[in-house]
Amino acid sequence: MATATGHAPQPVPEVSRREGLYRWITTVDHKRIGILYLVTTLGFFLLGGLESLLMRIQLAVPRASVLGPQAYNNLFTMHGTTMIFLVVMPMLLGFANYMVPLMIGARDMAFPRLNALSYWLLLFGGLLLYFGFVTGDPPDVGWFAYPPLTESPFSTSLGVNYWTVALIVTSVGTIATGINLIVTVVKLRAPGMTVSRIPVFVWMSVVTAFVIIWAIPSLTAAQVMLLFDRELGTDFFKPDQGGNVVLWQHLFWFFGHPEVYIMALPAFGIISEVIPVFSRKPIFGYGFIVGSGIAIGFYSFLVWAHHMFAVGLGAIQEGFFSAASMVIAVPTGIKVFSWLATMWGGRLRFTTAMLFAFGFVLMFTIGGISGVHFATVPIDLQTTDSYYVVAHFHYVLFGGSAFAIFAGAYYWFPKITGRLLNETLGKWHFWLTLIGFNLTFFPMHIVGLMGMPRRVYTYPDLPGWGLWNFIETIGTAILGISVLVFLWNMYITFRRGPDAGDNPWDAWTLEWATTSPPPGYNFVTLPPIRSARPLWDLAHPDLASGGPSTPGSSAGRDTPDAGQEQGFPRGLATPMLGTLVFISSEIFFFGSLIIAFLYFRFRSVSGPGPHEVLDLMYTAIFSVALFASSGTIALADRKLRRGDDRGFHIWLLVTILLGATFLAGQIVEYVRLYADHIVIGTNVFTSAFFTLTGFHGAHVAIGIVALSVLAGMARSGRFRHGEHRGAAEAISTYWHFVDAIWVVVFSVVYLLTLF
Amino acid sequence: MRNVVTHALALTTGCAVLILACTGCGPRIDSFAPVTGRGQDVDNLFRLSLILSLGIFLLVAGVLTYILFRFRGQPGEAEPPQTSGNRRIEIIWTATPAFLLAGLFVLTLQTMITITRPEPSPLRIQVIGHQWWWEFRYPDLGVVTANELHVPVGQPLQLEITAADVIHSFWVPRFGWKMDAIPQKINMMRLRVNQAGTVDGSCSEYCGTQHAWMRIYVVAEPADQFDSWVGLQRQPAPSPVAPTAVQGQQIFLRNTCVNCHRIDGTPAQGQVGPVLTHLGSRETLGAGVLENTPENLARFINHIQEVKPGALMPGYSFSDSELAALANYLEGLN
Repeated sequence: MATATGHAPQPVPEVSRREGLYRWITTVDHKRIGILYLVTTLGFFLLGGLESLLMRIQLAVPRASVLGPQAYNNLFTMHGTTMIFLVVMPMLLGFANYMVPLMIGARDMAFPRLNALSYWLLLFGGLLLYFGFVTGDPPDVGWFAYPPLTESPFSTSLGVNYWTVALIVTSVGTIATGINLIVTVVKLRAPGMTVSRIPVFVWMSVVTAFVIIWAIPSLTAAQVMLLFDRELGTDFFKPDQGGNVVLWQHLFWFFGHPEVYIMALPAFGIISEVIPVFSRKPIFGYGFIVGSGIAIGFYSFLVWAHHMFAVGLGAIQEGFFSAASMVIAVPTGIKVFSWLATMWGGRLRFTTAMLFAFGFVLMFTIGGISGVHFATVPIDLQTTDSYYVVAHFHYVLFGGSAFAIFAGAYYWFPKITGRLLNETLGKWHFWLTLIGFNLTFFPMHIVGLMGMPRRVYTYPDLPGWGLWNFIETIGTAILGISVLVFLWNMYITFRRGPDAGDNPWDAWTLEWATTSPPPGYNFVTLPPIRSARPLWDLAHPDLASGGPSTPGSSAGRDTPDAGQEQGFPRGLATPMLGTLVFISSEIFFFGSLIIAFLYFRFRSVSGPGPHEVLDLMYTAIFSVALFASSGTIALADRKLRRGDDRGFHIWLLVTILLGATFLAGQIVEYVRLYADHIVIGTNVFTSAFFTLTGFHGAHVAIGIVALSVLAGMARSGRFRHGEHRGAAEAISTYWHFVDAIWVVVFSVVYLLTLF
Repeated sequence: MRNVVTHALALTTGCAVLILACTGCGPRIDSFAPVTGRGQDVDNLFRLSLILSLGIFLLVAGVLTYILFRFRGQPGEAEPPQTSGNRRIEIIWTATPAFLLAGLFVLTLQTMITITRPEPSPLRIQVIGHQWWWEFRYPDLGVVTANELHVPVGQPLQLEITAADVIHSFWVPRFGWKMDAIPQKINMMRLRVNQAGTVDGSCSEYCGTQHAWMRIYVVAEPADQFDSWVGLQRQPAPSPVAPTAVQGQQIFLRNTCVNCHRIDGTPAQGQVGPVLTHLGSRETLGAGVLENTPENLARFINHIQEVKPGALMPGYSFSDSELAALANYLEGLN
């Protein structure tokens, strides 16, 4: 106890005891934001859990009428959407928010204000989703919302609109968090924290962040198209108007399958922290664990269509996606074996966190194995959309992610609150969860194979169905009790739990090298980082686990030796890196729109086609303005680098003028089309055309706003002493990107008419 | 220590056997009892893969149980040896699953090819999903029916699956697999039912309010019985003779029933709802929601929004005698 931080002075307690609501609302501290995330998502977890309890009551016996079909359909839609978008994903991001800066020895996230924005977008997105209950019209289309059911002829409910907008709003926040995490880990690691010393949870958070920024844009694009279909009369997903309902499924699952790993990878990370600490051994095969996480992140983008085998994609696609989906089982297996090997030969401590980790390994293995059945096309065709798949993904998301979240909660609660959770109640919580979970979800495999489809509000009294469903409902009740035990445990511990101390578990990552809870500035001093386990090295100079042997005298030193500075990437400035990461995400958004455009471009539909709508010469002329503006912004940049902030200001103004010229040209183009009665809802071609070019135009407009801010700053001399140069460079990079996208859009939209 | 291993293995095997026993001795599991040859192929692949899965699960569970007993730490014990990896073991547990999966993939491709291969001169059946009922058309036989699929045993069938409104999915578990019913797209299922009898199925893609009551009832019968069923279905509806039935027909034809429903041999030619020409010969009403009896039919007509809330048929308010006549007429259509 207190081995690591004996040298660190106890930080002064927070100045004011009256930290009211205002401090929470205005906070940009990653720890407070992390707590806001965790508390908010706990609230949504209770809501989502309540929804599932109501559903299970309705399903307890055949032909029950506790809930009508409408209410049931609302509940399963809200349950799925809530648990995925408002619970599991943001809860894991909440842990990442709190822990990642601490674990890498940083003071905060790279963009603290952006971080706060992410949280508020999550909260208000969530409230918007639930607004449907206030209007009496919640969505009832399922969390993957397949059109044409979601199109207005079949779903007049406003709830679908709230659902769409809510997900767009939370997605923007999630992407911002992804960018923030990546930049934080790249730029803000403490000296000595080389790539091979990064804790596994941090690694998994970064991989997750990449998956987030590349996967979510295609969901956003799909949601935008759906919203336009419903509100602006476009035809993207209207089969009778030349739209394509399968396109939605592709765009959705291109996001939806990576989403599974967004919810699984951080869970793997938590487990990879908990198991070593309570086995008293380092993680077995650090390289393989991290590498398999990266491999999973990569492959997650190549397997989406295994959700669509029953659509009838054709043998070649099915073969490809089947193989890719099976491949992903290999890195997943590596992780399970590595966790077992980490425990092997250890001195296991049966804390509640560790119990949940044991449970995780076993339950996730079941979910992983049944996952392979969905990669096997013929078996998938039999089991998909039945209760078998409901069982499978709950073994992954509850048996996997939720068990890991509980493990993380018991493991990190003392760090966050300074108090240890009660272990006796913790054990009750664990056993009730394990039993309730298996009673609820294991029989779903069986009823699924018996032929029970998912998403039915009731079912006929076929042999065996009633019995298994009744058992499932009992299981859910036990799960409900287990959650109450957990809540009670947190409540009483928070009121008067035993003091945690800095490092109650004798753990070895940096978050345990400061007080519990950590002060606003996180660390007074950092221990030297010579391996992935800095605190272990301090406590066991004789057993140091790698890296050069640590002299015992270094325990009190707060400056790293010179050698540790090496292998530590400086490179790009923080704003520039953030912008580049953001651009990579935008590419996926535009990619989705461009794919949709190209698909509909070659469909023959009634009404105006490319040759009636597009005027190549006219557009080419006003495009020149945009292309030229890339040159002028580069000139502005050069002036700034030479310290000529007046020249910078002038070239910025020229760039803004050129950008505005382009935008004006586009507006005139739209107005002329409008005069010819060609609008976004005319047919599926104009839908795709206006959506793609319109979103580009919106990006140009945002760019002009950002440039104008820069110009205003330049005018008032804010760049005079080489300050804010990073911001200027970041914005000019964004502007180049907007130009580059137009090169692509101009080619596929306008130049293609030549051929 | 060996003792612990034995116990651990016995415990996990015991649990597994218990689970299997629970599932094995209980009611029939449709997925494991296919009535088609191709379904049998899918089932064989599934069973093989389940055995493989069980093996892997028992391995993980067994090792974990062993670890829990063997490596439980005692307070005050020294820290264990700090092993951090073993390249050879890591490569083995990467490669072994990869080989197993490669094998599984080959079998997958094989089964995929088997279940999609066309057969000569199949009986074509158009399967059309509607909110919330199924339309079955036999274009070569001139038969149209709803919710009950009659098929001849032993003859190759070609189900051409599509949808009229939103996406549905045609799933009869004992056929062996399912295909989605998607508007403007036709998916094929080619199979042969090899035993007579009735089997259940349902829509398995969420399709709106009454997705739950979009069940499928399949009657597989020997060729001669199937032929006589076809013969019956091709005939127009029998003209009512009894006075109540005649009155029932008049009520049917005078009301909005005719806008949606068709009864061959009468002016009722609606195309929106299920064809009623031989309603009396069906087992259920409302795609499985009620057993087909005159009382239920009467209830269905007047109280559909209680029986099948959200169904796209309006509720009526016929008097008891009108209802009785209507039910009498419709149940007589067989």
